[in-house]
Amino acid sequence: MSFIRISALVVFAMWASTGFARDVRIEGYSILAVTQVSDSDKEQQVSEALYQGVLDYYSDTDPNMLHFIETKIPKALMQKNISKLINEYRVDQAFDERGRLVTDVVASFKKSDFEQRLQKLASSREEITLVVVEFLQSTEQRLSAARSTFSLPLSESLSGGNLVVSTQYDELSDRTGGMFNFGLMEKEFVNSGNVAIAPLNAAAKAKAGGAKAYSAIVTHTLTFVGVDNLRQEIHQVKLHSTATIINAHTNERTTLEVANTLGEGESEALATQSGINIASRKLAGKIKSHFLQKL
Amino acid sequence: MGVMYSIQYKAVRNQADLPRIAGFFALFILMLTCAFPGFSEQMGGQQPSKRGFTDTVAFAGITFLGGKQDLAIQYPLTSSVVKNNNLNAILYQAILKKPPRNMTVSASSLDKDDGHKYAMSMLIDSEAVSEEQVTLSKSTVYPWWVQLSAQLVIFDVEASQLVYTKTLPILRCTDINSTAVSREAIVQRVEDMLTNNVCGDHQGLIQYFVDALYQAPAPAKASLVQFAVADVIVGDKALPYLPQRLKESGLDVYRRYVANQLTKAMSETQNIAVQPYTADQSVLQMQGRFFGGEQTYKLTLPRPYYKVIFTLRGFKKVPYSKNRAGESNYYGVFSELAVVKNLKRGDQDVFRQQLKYVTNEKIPSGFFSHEEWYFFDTNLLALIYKANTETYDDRTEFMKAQGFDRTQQRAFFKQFEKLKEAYASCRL
Repeated sequence: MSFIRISALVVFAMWASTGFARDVRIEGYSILAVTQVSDSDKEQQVSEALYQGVLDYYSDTDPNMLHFIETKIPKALMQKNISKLINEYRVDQAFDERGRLVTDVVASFKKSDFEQRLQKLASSREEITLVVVEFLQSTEQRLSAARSTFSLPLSESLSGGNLVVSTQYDELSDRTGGMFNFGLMEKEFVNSGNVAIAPLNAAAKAKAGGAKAYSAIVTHTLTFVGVDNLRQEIHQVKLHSTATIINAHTNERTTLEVANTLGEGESEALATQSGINIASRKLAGKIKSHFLQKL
Repeated sequence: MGVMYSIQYKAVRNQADLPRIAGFFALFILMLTCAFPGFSEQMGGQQPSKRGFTDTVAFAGITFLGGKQDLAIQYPLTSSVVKNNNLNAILYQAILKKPPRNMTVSASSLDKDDGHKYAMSMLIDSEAVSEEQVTLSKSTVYPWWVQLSAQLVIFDVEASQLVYTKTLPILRCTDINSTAVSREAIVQRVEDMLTNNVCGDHQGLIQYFVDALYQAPAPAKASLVQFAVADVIVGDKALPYLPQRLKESGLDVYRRYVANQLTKAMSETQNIAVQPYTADQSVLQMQGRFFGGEQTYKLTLPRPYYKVIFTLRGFKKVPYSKNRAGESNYYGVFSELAVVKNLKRGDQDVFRQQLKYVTNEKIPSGFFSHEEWYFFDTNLLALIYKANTETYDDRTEFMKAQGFDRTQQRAFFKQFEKLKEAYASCRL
């Protein structure tokens, strides 16, 4: 098994935009059982359907975020501002055979904008120090030849909110009196597929001082798929990514998973980089919503 | 007097936790209230564009109805032409030149986590080649023809439903040679019919597909209830007339073909949600254009709400006349069409009727090696379409030809009312 390791310990003292806007497709509907409706009722139903569409999207993709929205954001406020979270939408509004007004919407939801706003709110909360070690592994030897060409953008995607991440592992090694040793950790991962969490937790606590401290062990397992059967020039790889987040004080663990990520590119290296980028972005979203839920 | 409002939501959310976070809630509302105007500033007061949304649909290329083993039996020429000439790339380039009005087509694999769920494909559903020999005034000529038919399908991979199908013009190109036609010439003809022209017409099947896609409506939302052909039964009286290649395939290939024709006819003529007969190669190829999501696709399709069971009771040929000019025969197709509600407590009949379709066909003298099979096949397709379009009125030729007496006719239309209700419940 070949592998590369990436450690990411990046400090974000303040909220910073990733500059990466991402819209997603949502669907929602509402049903209003009245015999007569005004234009404002119809508009209200569109807002309701869009709101339900956002909830349904998070219900399918990120239950932590769904829980956060449902419990922390007043529905009326969200509905009032829903149009600002939507780029474009299509409405189908009609009375059904029972005389009810049925409103179906399909929309482009400004997911990254919305989540950045929430992160901004979180930035005023207590800082969380997060020590992240990241590994990329494959069952195929040829990955090792190209591994140095890959960048792992998880730390960049984690930007925003009240997370404090650091890339200075030498500093962490110093702070822990050599207990945190990245080279050893890497060998340990190659040999056993796991790493000891005590040095990680020690590094997180040393960096955080008295504040909240967490560790995260991130692994991307890569499989080469071959070429796309429709576009022979396009190579494909699949990734399965996990992040185990550990509370450095209590050892409480949570595992987040992003499965079935496909990377595509004109070479195996480009496909791998594309897959890593997508998986990192998705995993970062889950990690951030995990911490948002703790607000 | 107040108006009673009742709003039903798609998902009932748990509100029980709300009181527990009351302390944080007040502060948070204040923060959010401050945050939302920020949205407006960031977007420059931009309002969403109503009706501007277009779905991104994954391009799944040219697919074939049926399983992998069907390729060599049903589409031996087309499948090799598509592969050897990389027609998927040609099709995609043609789409780029005339992109569809109501959707965006992507050749890249789409991420289900971004909400994408539609794939589209040019589904080849039949390929036929006929080579004949005719002796006229002591000279022999060799008429031959190639026929291709395909459809535009848009598939919702989440709901496993065909949300749009459009039959492309059935192309038949005939020719007469002074010597027997070579395989190379037939292959070249198939390629031309797909890409260039059809017997002098300026456009091939790919261009017809691009035109149909250009006109196609935005993909419809999948229906909670749908029709699906659950079984095709081929009766003993049909077997003698089937071509050898279909008999050798163990009839599964033919069942899939009939089921797809029925599915296509119902989808197109009734505008209802339909599920494919099987998760065949075309379905797998469309599913394969997606990634993301935590779940993997199942290779079995969900239970349909309405099951269609089509029994091909038999084919029949009855000689009508024969003289020096040639012969004339009746070619009949006899069937039973049943639609049942697929309830957990058991099936419930909605519609069950025997239907037939008969035509008189003439074969000029001097024709040899003529495949009579195509008369039966054409009549079967006509029966399937007419069963969906000419059953609304007892004065149509199709209904008159059924030969129902008054009681049978009354029973037919009583059942047909129930069928119309079933169609209405599945309408897209």
